[in-house]
Amino acid sequence: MAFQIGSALLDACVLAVVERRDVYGYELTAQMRNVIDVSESTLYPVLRRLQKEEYVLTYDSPINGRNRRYYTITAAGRQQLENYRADWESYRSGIDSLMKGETTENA
Amino acid sequence: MRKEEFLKRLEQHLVMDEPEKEEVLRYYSEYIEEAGPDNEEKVIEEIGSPEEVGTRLSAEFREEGKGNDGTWAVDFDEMIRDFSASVEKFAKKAWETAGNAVNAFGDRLGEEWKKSEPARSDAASDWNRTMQEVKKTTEKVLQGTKETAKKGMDEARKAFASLRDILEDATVPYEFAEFDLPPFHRVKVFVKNCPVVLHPSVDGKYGADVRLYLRREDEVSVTVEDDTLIVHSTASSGIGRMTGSATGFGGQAAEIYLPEGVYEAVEITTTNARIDAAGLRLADAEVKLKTGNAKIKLVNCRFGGSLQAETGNAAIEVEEVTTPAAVMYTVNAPIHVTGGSIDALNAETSNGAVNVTDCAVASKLTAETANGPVRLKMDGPAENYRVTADTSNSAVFVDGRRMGPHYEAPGRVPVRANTGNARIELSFLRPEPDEVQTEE
Repeated sequence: MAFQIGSALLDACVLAVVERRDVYGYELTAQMRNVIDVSESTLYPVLRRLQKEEYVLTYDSPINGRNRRYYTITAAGRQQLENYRADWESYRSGIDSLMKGETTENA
Repeated sequence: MRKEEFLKRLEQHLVMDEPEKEEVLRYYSEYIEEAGPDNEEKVIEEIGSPEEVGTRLSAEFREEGKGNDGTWAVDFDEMIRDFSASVEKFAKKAWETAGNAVNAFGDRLGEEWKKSEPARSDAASDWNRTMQEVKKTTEKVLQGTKETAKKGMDEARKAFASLRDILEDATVPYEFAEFDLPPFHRVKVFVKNCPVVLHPSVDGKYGADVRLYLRREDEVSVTVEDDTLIVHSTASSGIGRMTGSATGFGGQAAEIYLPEGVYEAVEITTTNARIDAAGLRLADAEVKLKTGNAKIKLVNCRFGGSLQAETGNAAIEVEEVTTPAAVMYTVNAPIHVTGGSIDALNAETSNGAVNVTDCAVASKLTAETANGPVRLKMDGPAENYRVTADTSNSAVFVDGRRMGPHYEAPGRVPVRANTGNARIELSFLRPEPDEVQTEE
């Protein structure tokens, strides 16, 4: 796979996963890995960043005598995700046209 | 490499504020634990070298930190995090905590804002603008969270009220009380959400006093047939728990009265409720007690056959009990065995202590737990016991002397003690100084 994923796009992807349902770190890494080859060390700073920007919150849920920290999306996070989705749509269709060799005179 | 070593080496390579470091270590600790103990080494190998991870995260942190007053950013995060964490919990508590936190946060925000005054007037104007925006967004978040917490609590109250109404309409109190039953030599009790108490009968008569809340009459049957007392109820009667009483069960209980004598088997099964027995004398009996999320407590009993006690998330307490063989099993709670005489004892839990004190063990003792101490005070001298004691993250202490994580001693009666993240304390009977002298 030749293409690197930029940090804004990573943020968007993680937000999209968390929006579906609350996840914990290990679960998020597994789900992201179904699609792109990322490490948990790549994802940790994303989660940190999303927390700092108040797009996600965390809460703890004890299970089997140990702790699990869940990430959940906030109202601000949903708003940002919508913005990301719009950005992604125009970005994606632009790249698509280019790759398919379509004319981009008015792109 | 194991988790502890990975985390230690990772910490050494983290260059960031202490709270940030804690977060990183916590994330990785939980991540590794999620994989399960069998996969620990493998998942750590997948994560990679702790040095590389640490260096990489430190670089990220430096990048993020640019253009920010580092101290302020960290405190801010912590306050938001603490506040958010409390709001997510139970509705009522969250509301109270949230209320206090909102006030505290508002005060703190005001203070920090005031404190940054000199820095602000010196700094560039866009720093001012940034702080204004931060304050605005924070207020929006706080307001939103406050509203969510209040809504959550109102919904919870409504749901609880309607559920309670449904259950109250639907259940009927039931009582079977008979204190002169035909004699029986077997007992089989199967109930739910109902505490069971076994009493020694003082007048030599057999009795049963069963009080439950039912939805249908046919949910329970109490009979003596085939030489067996059968108390069988499929009623789960949550209403019993919700109306509350001293037992927390609105008076639900199954109380059995057993005179001293010969019994073949006593089998008690319940859920979410205690099993208590005191003063029983049951010759030959194989006693099986099973519940969950509630304590099993036995005091001054003699079971001629054997004892099996199983529960979860609650303690097992056995005092002055005599039986040839006992197996005790629970999780997330301690097991306490004091006095009495149990020839072969097997006590197993996790996340809880195992304490066996002054119990006469003649053929075998096994005490197992994972995150809790094992304390065995044996009622004989050390030479009687063939000891194998293992702990992974602590040490074995014998009569107060620290040994190592693994200790073995020769003897006759095998005593096995196993734990993970805690100590093992063994103590034995010392011969009296007088006795030693008179033997000479």
